[in-house]
Amino acid sequence: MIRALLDLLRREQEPSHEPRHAAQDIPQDIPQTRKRGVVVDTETQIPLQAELRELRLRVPYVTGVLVASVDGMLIAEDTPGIEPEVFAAMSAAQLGLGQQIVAALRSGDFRETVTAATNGYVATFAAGQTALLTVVAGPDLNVARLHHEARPVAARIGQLMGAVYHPA
Amino acid sequence: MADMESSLQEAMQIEGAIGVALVDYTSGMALGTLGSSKEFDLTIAAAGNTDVVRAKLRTLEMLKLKDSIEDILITLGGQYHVIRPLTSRNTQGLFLYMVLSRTRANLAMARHKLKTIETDLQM
Repeated sequence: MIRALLDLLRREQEPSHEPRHAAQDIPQDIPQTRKRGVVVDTETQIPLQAELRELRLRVPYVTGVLVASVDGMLIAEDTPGIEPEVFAAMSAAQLGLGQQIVAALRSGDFRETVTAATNGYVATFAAGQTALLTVVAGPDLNVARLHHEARPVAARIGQLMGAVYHPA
Repeated sequence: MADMESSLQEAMQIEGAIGVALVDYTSGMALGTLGSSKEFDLTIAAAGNTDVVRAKLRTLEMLKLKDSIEDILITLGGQYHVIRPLTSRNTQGLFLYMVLSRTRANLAMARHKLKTIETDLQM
């Protein structure tokens, strides 16, 4: 997962006039199989987008939301000003680390992790077994309010995703 | 001087007390609660009332009032909600949130006792 993240970040830095060369470095079969698994039909995409929009409306100072699979593939996003593919991969890394920490402590299932910075917050919530929800917010975020509003949203996204997406 | 736990217990001794929470309004999270129940979740009350405190502080700022909030009283049909932002050096950014039964509580007495609790509170 971390390797996937680093690959993505490296790809970001590469000059854009050599896309064909960069594409050759990546094994063709793996991303394609993954992509097939992740593409979510419009029937799921519509309620997903509705959940994300609703969450943004309900919690002040939220600047971006995205849903990704646990292996870091972007599923749905509403994140102006943020590269969503990279953020999805980083979120998956964050989720994976959180799950390992929780597993090491044997303290049940991972629920969420909040990263606080001097100028904002990033929170990643587990959404069922197959997906995650990441919320980006400004420094004035009411974290407890976000917890209260986003946990049920993550659970509903988990149900939606659980029905359609099964990672390899 | 009293620690948080005993301050909250003392607040629950106030006549008509239903619940009390000590809340950090930078995050909206409660540092401690007493009297929370399934019907009345004080962690949700803490998050919601954080928005109340922030709105009022912002209003004072907009009005250019160089003053501070001593307390905020919200009167419901059956309850009083009293919010008391704390001001000492080590409690700044916190507020006390107290829920009282309107029929059983004496508001003046409750406010007076909350003030004493605030003065004694040591984090």
